[in-house]
Amino acid sequence: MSRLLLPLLLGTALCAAPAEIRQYATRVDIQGDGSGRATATVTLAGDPSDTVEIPVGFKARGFALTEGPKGLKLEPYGSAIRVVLPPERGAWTFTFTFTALDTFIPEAVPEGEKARIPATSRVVRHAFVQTFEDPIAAYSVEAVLPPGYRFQAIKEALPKVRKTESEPRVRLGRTDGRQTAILRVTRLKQGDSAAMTLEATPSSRSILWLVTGLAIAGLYLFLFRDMVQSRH
Amino acid sequence: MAAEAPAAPPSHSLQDLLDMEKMVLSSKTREAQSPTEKWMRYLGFPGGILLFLLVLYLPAGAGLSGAAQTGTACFALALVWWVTEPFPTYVTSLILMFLLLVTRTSPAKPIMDVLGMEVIWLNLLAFILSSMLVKTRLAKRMALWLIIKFGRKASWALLAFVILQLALSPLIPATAARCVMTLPLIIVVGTIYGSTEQTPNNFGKNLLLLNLAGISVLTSVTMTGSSANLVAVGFIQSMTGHRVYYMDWMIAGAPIAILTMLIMWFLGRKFIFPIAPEDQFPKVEGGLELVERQHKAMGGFSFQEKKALVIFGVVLFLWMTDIFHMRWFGVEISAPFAALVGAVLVLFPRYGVLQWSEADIPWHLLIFSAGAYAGGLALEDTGAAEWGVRTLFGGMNLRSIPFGAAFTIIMAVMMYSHLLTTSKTVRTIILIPIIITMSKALGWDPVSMALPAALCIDWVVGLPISGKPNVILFSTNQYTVGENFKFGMATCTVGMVLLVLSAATWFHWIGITPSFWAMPQ
Repeated sequence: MSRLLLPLLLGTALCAAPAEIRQYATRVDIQGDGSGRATATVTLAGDPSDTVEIPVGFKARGFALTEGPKGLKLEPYGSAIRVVLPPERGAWTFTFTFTALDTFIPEAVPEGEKARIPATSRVVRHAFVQTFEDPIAAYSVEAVLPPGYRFQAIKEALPKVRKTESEPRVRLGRTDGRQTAILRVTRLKQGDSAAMTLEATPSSRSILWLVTGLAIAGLYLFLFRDMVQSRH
Repeated sequence: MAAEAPAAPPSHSLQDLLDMEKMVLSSKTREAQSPTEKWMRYLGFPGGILLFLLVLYLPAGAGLSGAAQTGTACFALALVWWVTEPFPTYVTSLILMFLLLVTRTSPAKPIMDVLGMEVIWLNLLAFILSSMLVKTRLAKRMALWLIIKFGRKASWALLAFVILQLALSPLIPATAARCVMTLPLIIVVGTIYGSTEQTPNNFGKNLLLLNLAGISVLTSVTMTGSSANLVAVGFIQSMTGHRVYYMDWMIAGAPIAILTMLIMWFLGRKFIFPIAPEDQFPKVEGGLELVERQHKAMGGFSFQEKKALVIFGVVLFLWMTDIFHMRWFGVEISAPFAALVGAVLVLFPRYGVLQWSEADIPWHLLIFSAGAYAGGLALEDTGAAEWGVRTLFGGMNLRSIPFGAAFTIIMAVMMYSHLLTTSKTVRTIILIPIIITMSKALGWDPVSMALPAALCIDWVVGLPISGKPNVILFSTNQYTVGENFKFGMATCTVGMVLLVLSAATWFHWIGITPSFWAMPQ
């Protein structure tokens, strides 16, 4: 019996093609209160009625499937979501939304320690750990700042850019008058991670620079006028 | 009122001219000389501030972070002040470092860390070696010999230095080391032709700026001329799969570099800084016979000179053989550490050549370099430089123009971009991958753009902040930032013309570039 069972099991394992994520793109519209309205679009290929767990990369709640093929089901599962694929084999693109929490937060300063960024600044942080068993061919996450804010600096962008890549890991841009940051990674294997940490500040600049700059320039022109005055 | 009689040209005795102990580099602030310079200084200060405010308050570009915008504003201010010099250049560098901090462009540590960078160490140690050459009179002996052999006329003296730099470029990969090696010779030969810090003349300007161009441009003769060249070759191989061999590089790069230097040798003394007839010959009372007598009077090599020769030989040997270090010693002794070995030998108690107090180290120059590097690194780290290049290329519709036009634009960006950066390697890392990606997107063989672009990496001749040799030679105070800019831009333009002509002709014939008139696929 065991002689028959072993080849059967091996054959089943070999025949079962693994699910494959071809594309995974998330856009997070950050709100002023620190939460974010996230929309994720995934293109996934797998076996009929297979159930796969997809990591989300955010502390999240309120998952809802907004677009997808008939028969595809979605259910939250800890820090991931569980997707039940339709009953026929194929590749499907589906979109789901959720509320991402703590996407836009002030820096936590432990008591007795110095703050490293101004109180008006906020930190945008995203860390994605690839727990899916097969590689994700293309992963991206786009953070859209609330109006009135801009990115001050990219503090962290992982993984480091490979020699064969010409694009920076995180690229800043603009959409509808709001600044965006897109993290893009290709070929994420199980256990790999992708992360970005950015500092955002109010986009208006202090008028102090203008006043001080003009005052110093004017003072210099007055005090050093003898440099160009004729001695006769 | 009677016109003032022109001042009589200073007459120099050879002894005065060759008293190199007086030619210290370590305590210089140049006075404004012409009315134009005075006006530049007067208006440069508010001009820099206005440019800073303009960049700071401009609506931010889509892909530009706040730090990148403030970094650009700070660098723009410093650039105006370095060129117009309302402050000495090192004070501007200190102000730039402070501004980078208070505008939150860079944290304190990376700004402070630039003083520990390899290039600063190399400069510092190379100045100790240079002091050794001066103190032991080896520099004086070599300069006298050079004048006797080649210096009977200004044009031949200048050409001799071009040949000297060409001979050194494949041997010593560090441009700063090459510069410091030849600096004492340059100063003495310039002085013999009447160009000193107090009375710089056009021979001196030609000599210093031709050497500056020679050190930089001739680095592109060989692939191993600088580490940035190797970085570019690495990018070409990893991103296109095309391996650039030593001879590929040399066949493409050497003719352009050498021809440019010969053209600049001619243009410089005829048109850019025309040498007056009276400056065409050494200004030494008693003529060249006196120089010869002085050379003979030095007698044979002194013991101190021999020691200096041996020490310099050791350093030179380490610089030239860096490719074998790992095999021989199990560790790579980089250029600064080779100079460090030399400095230890030079300063060795009892058996060395110099006391610490005799080393002429221009600290103001190191501070100037540190500020420039801090500014350049800020532009790189914040992504401002990369954003600028992409925006520039993105704004031009390169798809609708033939290869030759796209080639010219891309090479011009590569060639002149050195005015905004302070590191060849950083410029390579930013630009070469973008050029490769863009060429692929346009349908051109990426090597047809990337290899010629790589040949421009070392042409950092426009400003004193553009490279280490620039900073070192600027310390002689014999030319202004504006004059440096004029000669440097002429050099780059000659190089550009030669590069474009090459792309239209023999680059195409030997298979590097497609037809000049081909349209993108």
